[in-house]
Amino acid sequence: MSMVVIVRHLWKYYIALGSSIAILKDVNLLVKRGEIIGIHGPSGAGKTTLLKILAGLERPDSGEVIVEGYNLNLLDDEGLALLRTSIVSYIPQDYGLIDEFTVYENIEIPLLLIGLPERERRNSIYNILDYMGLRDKEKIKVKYLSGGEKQRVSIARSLVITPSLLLADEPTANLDWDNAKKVLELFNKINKDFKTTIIIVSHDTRVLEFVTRRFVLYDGILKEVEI
Amino acid sequence: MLREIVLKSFRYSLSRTGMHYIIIFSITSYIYLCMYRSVLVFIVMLFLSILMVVASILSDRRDVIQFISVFHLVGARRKILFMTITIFILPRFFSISIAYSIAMISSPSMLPLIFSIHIIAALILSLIIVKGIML
Repeated sequence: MSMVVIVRHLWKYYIALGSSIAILKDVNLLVKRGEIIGIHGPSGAGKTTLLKILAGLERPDSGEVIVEGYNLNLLDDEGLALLRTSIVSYIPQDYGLIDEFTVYENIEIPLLLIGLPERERRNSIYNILDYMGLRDKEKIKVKYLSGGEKQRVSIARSLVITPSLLLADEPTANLDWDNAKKVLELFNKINKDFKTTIIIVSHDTRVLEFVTRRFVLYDGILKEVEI
Repeated sequence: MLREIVLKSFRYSLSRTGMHYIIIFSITSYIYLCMYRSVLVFIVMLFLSILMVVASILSDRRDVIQFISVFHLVGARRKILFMTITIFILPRFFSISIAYSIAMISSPSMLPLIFSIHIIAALILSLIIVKGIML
């Protein structure tokens, strides 16, 4: 089975009050194609930073990060942007949607960036809206949707480019458990239907019931735990 | 692709509250400039216009940051981000510039002075704002 993510000896520092603090300490991670990885840890443990590095939104201070064979250290900003329109999709905790845009318009953004013609864009968007059960919401502005619906729109926007790696940052943090469960079941369905590799980070241990491999990130140190 | 993004950014900018303030301000500026024709009034109004543009951008700050963040998140290149910010900001200057231009037609003697000051100020300000947002 091929590796989608290879992280070796990753270190990341932040400067706080003039001194440098290590947020990620010698992180090593191998993710195989088709896996659902769950990373659990308390707030401030470095979960979001790790995910942002994998998405090419932040750069590591040292160490190697390889996603789908691309060494992210060797890519410039344009290369990392290209990676996010083709291979990696990142779902932020706050959904990362434009409130004043409709569901359709939000999902359309990545397709505009890759320059897809209008007819193909429309087909792709309707396919994904049908898959996510959001067809009846296409003309509704995102600001009028519930948290669960916003999360589904965010996932739909991520899926519309059919990425091989999906990164979800605290996908259940703003949801009640019923809605959270639906979102996690949706990730499992996506994993089966699209063969998408998924990495979920969460401070909620219940999320770990829905993954194939579990890790704990505590104080910048990543450790695998047995299921 | 670029045309669609330009149109989306332009429409989004026009629909923001700050832009509505700018349009109202432009109309009132035009009326004021037509009623009181003097260099001093022109310069004071110019200063107020610049403040108004800054205020309008600050009032829409959350929206512009959200807009740019989402584009960045889904993989927009730096050139596209720069373009969307510029399109977001420029209509605000255009709106006031149109009001000035119409008002200046009736006072051609002041045109070179006011026009050059306005253009230089607008360019400097837009560069500062764009650079600030990009950082």
